[in-house]
Amino acid sequence: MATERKTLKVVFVGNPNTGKSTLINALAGSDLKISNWAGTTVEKVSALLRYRGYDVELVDLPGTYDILPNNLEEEITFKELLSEYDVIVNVIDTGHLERNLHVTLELAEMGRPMVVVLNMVDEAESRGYEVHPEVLEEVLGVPVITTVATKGIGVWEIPKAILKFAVPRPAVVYPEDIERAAREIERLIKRPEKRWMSLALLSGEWSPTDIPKEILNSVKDLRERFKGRDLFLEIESARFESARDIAQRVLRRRKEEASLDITDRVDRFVLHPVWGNVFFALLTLLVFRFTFLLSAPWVDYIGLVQEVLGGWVASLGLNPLLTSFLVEGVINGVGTVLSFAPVLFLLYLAISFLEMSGLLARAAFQLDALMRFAGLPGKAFVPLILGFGCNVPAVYSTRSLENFSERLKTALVIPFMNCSARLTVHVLFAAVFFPNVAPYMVMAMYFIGVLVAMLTALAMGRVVKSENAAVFELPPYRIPKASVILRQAYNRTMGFVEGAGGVILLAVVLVWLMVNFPSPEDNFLKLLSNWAVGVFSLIGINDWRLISSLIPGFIAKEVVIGSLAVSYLGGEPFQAVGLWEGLRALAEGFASALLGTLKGLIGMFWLPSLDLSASGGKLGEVLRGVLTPASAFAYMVFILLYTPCVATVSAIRQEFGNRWAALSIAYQITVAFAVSWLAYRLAVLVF
Amino acid sequence: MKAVKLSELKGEGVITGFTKNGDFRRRLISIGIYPGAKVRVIRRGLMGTPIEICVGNTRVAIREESARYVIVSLENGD
Ligand SMILES: Nc1nc2c(ncn2[C@@H]2O[C@H](COP(=O)(O)OP(=O)(O)OP(=O)(O)O)[C@@H](O)[C@H]2O)c(=O)[nH]1
Repeated sequence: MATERKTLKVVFVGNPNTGKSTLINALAGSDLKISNWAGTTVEKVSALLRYRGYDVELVDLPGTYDILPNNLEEEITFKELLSEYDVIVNVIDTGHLERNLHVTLELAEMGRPMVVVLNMVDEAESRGYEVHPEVLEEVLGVPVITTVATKGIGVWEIPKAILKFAVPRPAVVYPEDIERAAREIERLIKRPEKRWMSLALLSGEWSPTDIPKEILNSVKDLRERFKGRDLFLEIESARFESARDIAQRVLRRRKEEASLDITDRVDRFVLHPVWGNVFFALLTLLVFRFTFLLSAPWVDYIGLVQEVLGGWVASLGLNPLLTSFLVEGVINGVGTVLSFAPVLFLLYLAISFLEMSGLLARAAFQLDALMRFAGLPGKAFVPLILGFGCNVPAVYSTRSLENFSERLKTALVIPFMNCSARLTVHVLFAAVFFPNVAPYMVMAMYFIGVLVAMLTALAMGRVVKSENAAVFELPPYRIPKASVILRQAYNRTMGFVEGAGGVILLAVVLVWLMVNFPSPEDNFLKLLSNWAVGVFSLIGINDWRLISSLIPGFIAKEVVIGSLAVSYLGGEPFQAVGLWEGLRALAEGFASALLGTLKGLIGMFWLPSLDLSASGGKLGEVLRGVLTPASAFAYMVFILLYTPCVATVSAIRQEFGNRWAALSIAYQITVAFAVSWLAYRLAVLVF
Repeated sequence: MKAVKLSELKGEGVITGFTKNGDFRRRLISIGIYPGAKVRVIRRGLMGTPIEICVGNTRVAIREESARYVIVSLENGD
């Protein structure tokens, strides 16, 4: 007979980078669930832990420096802290106890059961400190545990402590008149968080909308009494004083700290004005090499799987239209979605590593001046660099920025970062039309993209000014755990496949319909393109087929080449594939993908050699017939700047809503026309 | 004791206050830049910004124009 299991919800809260994810990973093993926080695309990680008759749900809240939110992620944490749950687990980076305790002391005023985890005690100890959790236990009256999450030390004390359901006592001593005023407000609030709320209201920095008028009125009256005093500063000072005092008693110095720790020594190089920048330039190159060399074999393999599946379908001898729908609509659509996955997974792997190791913050330091010039916050460089790989994760990553206008500015600029899909088109065109200077032409595309991005950011900076404090932490260097990084990258990739997959699939099917109706010879795509020739002839493009390829390019830009090949050289009939033949091809393909990955692992440390010697084959010959070099250049610029792909648009829509997504499409198409026209005019003079 | 802006600080000092309020100040405070905290300038970026400082034992990068609103008193009065 099954016994009744009780369920518990536990939220993990703390400063960013304190080891929350690593702890949950250590506790829950494989039972991890990834989803999004309601109404946002910020990822929500939760895990189920079965412990002594309890089903314990562990929820990883976004890291926060403060209970009152400063950005979207902190807002989620804040909302969640005021919602329904059973226990708070406050995770602390013991080496930075004083600042971490600030959040702890605020949490202690929330009136909910709590457990404090002093994580990373290994770091604190190696810096010469002795850790005394019992002091903090005494102060707060809740269980305090010491752990080393990366080694799994102490983590199983956490569930034990959770079951004690101890509610902490507020530990901060405020000036007496503030204390009295806070008590007065407390009496009016009927929630467990009443103490924290009353202080936040009194400080004047929190103005919630869902609080009864009479409470707000009495807060206003009380604040009148303190005219001329800065209550917020006094309250915060009291908290910091307590934090300092407690920290000094919990961490006791055993021996003198080594004069220079590893972080200092590494930073002398990594943050050096010259060597640091060289280092990050090489590192960026390495990240891209890693992503593309290792993903290419698997993207190819997905292509092969598509071919084999298509072949199997073709061999069934169904009605041709149905076969075409299954092969070019369904299989091709799913294949397109999946072919994003290897690139994203590897890119996320690299980014997670850089983020958790502390290198990402250093790169932000080095690039801050440039970002400032463009009127963007320093942290915006992460989304922008990601954009060179793929615009989609780039748009999602804007959520770590401080406020809506900064996030929006960055997201609207991202599509001009030349992503790897566009690179494939640029490489072909450069090789075909500018064989002698092909690499420079490809590079020129990156420059034009960055230039347009900068100008866009500058122009928007004039419209939306940001008043925010530009600060970020430079955490100590740490070696992340491989399993945590792998899981995070996997989760984020799956998040993309689930989130954007549907939209991409829909777009593929839509394009299939446009290509096949009313009839394959006179389809909608052709009609539409013929109609657009008038406009495109301004930039020297007079052939409807070149224009028609831009529409499938909306699914993913690398599709442009395939679609050009089909419209100029004619589509290949579906090759029927036998069962065994197909299986053998799949097995062989898998083996060669593995081999390719191994080669890539070694090859990524070599300098890249863009293979631009190819003349582009038959397609190249045909293209040379319909485009002049000047119009080819304009076409390249157009490919660079026009709306990146449905997945990016859908990411922008998810993050900022329909209006901004529509505006961004309109803006990109306008800019693409304007700039490629300019490029065409200039190119006519030069070439 | 002499007071300077954080953007002009060289070496060490103690934070005494801000000349800009609201979210700006709250953000700085939450990351550990609060009145009473000891602060030390470690280095500056290529263009003189951002400024790397050490508050408590946390390293923080702050843009020059944000540092202008933070007032620091020099400990030894030079
Ligand atoms: N030395 C040491 N490193 C740790 C420990 N726990 C976590 N780390 C490392 O600290 C870094 C940050 O850990 P995360 O688990 O990502 O921290 P987090 O709190 O989830 O971070 P956010 O999600 O950004 O808030 C990683 O590189 C971890 O490997 C520990 O106990 N000792």
